[in-house]
Amino acid sequence: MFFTSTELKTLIPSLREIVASAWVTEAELVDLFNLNIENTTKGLMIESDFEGVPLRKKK
Amino acid sequence: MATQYDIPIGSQHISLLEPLHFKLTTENEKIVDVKANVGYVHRGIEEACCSKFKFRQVSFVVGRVCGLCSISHTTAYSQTAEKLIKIEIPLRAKYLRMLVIELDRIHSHLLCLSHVAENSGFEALFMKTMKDREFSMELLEAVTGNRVQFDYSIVGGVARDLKFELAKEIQQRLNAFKPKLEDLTNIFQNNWSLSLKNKNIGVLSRENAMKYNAVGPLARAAGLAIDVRNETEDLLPWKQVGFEMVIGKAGDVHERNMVRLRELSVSIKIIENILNGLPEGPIITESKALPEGDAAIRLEAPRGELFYFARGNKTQILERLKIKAPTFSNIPAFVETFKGNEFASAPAIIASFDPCLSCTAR
Repeated sequence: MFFTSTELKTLIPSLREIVASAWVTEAELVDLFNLNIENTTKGLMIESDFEGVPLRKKK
Repeated sequence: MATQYDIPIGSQHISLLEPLHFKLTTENEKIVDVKANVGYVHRGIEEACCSKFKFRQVSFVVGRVCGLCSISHTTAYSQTAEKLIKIEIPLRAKYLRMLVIELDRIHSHLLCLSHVAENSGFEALFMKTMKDREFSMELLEAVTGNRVQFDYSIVGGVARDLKFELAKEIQQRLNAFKPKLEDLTNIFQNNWSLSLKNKNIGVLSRENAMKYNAVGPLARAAGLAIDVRNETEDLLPWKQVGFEMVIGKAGDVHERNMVRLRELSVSIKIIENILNGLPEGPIITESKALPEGDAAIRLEAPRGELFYFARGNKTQILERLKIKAPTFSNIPAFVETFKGNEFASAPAIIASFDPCLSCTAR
């Protein structure tokens, strides 16, 4: 496993050109953490108009 | 270009077992594009496990992620927690975990096969398969105490021991099931009507299975040799109890049925070996340690690789729990498999995926 840190508003490049199935994981991250990932919109795991961020830790 | 029609299937539909939505774009009855929505039963279980429950209670919470493969969830989580608190469970507990996992695989595969039969228009085979499946549900209830959502694996071992009389009954019921399995295999293999709905339908090629990271019977039916039981021996000794990987070739609905049926025979053999060689000893390792650090676990659930990640911070509450269910991993492969098939084949293809949306949405 590896990880990196970035600002929340940064546009994160999509991996789907390298890993074809990455779109589903990217869609999950957008829905549950409200990340800003290239070419990915809300709506796979939760309703697209849902305003909450289910898995973001409250500070 | 012919007119394209978008046809929704789900979230509530007669051919779907679970709340799943596919939007199939069709052109002259052929499926040309697919969009999926899998979040209808999102319950926030990961967040609940990291805020409302102590880490030992979490094994009971994740047992509620899914009714069908709850033993896979509780075992995978228990193994993750055991890694975090650095304990080794007794060998007897490992064998009992494998016993229940394989009993669970039998009931899950038979459920999938029955639904493929139903969605292929073969109601009688659906009823026969469900009837033959009942013995596995009764055995699971006898071993674990519950028909579904068995809280059997707990942090440190298992919750109940297996009595000699029950072990004998399991063997007797398995012996009674063997001729039924042969009968089912014969029907799924040779029935002409069923072959029209299953052969060369919903083909996932080996290349696409690899490209879209398919897991479980879906991948193995496409010829991809991928099974966690074949890769890890450190937590559960699968090869000691006679695990053999089943691999198909054609990658169609029929091949997925056959892979599942052959896996049932392997599961029976594993259970028999476990019963014959069940080691004596305790069933739980007691510890008062608190979870610390990161741990990741892979376990072969009936639908494929189940992944758990947890992070502990030396408190009773976990900092993070991540569950990646096999159906979630298979969504990109599902979407590709539909393309090029007739719209009328969609129900049988969906059932052959054996989707579990409770696991996927969590």
